[in-house]
Amino acid sequence: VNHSESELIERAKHDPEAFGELYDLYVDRIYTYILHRVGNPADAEDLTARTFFRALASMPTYVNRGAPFAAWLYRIAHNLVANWHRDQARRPTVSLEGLGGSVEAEVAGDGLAAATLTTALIGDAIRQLEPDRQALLVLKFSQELTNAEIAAILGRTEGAVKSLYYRTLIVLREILEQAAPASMTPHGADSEGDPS
Amino acid sequence: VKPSPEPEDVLAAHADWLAAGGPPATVPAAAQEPDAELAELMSLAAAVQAALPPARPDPTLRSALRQRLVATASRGQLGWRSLSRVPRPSVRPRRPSWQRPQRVLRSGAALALASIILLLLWGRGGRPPL
Repeated sequence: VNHSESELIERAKHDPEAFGELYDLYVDRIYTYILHRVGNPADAEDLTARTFFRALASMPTYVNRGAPFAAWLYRIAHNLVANWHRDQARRPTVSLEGLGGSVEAEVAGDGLAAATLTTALIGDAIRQLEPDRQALLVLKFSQELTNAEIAAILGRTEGAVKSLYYRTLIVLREILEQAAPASMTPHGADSEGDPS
Repeated sequence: VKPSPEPEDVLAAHADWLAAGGPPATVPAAAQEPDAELAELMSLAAAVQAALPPARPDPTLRSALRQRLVATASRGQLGWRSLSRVPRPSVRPRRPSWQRPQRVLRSGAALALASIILLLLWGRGGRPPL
């Protein structure tokens, strides 16, 4: 936490406008995190609002221990998203709306050779992961946080985050291979079909 | 022979490159020339990053939420003002140590007086009252 941000945080404990400035700084990042975790803008907006109202209520008890203020907000958002997923457990997953489903990413390699994955397909696959794994990918790639920052949010060690990331990619690959086998060329498919 | 880095380390370094928008000066050799398995996972990581673009809430809602937050804080419905109204638990001041023996003496004196009264009653020929 830099000096000016520390001052702003302290001011926000008794100055509503200072809290508004903190909101301006972080609302887009928190919204992006939540949107990628829940998959639809309406719920993301609602949960973003709840995150900041909860933060406002907890400001008097916030103690700056050197960790980024954003990590504290992400932690609140993370818990709210977890509750949301618990409430939505019986509902089917929704598709990734409004996030540019036409964007395509080409994945090279053995298992996913020549596969062209849309953002919607990858988004759906991400949301099939366990909550902490989803959070890890979003925090890493959408929020560009370091492993140490992610560890603070998820309540794990930095080393555990590193291992979790590796295992998460492997599980994600399996989900994608099962979800869209038609769009992917499995490893060795060509040679198996070749009688010579 | 230089030990090859763990796949976790290589992928973590790769993820940091992606997040930073490109490789930094120090690049582990295993990540420069990854095996097929690692190359595939790196490629998948890049696809994941592309699938998680930054987003912004609707500007109207964004602004409205800010106003609600500031207004709520100003009215003191949440935050420090509501918490300051919560009555703090009262803590009775601890009695100074030099006052405490007096309480013991008072209790002892009362007990002695009660004993004398009982003995007097007994001495007058009656049965002990208890």
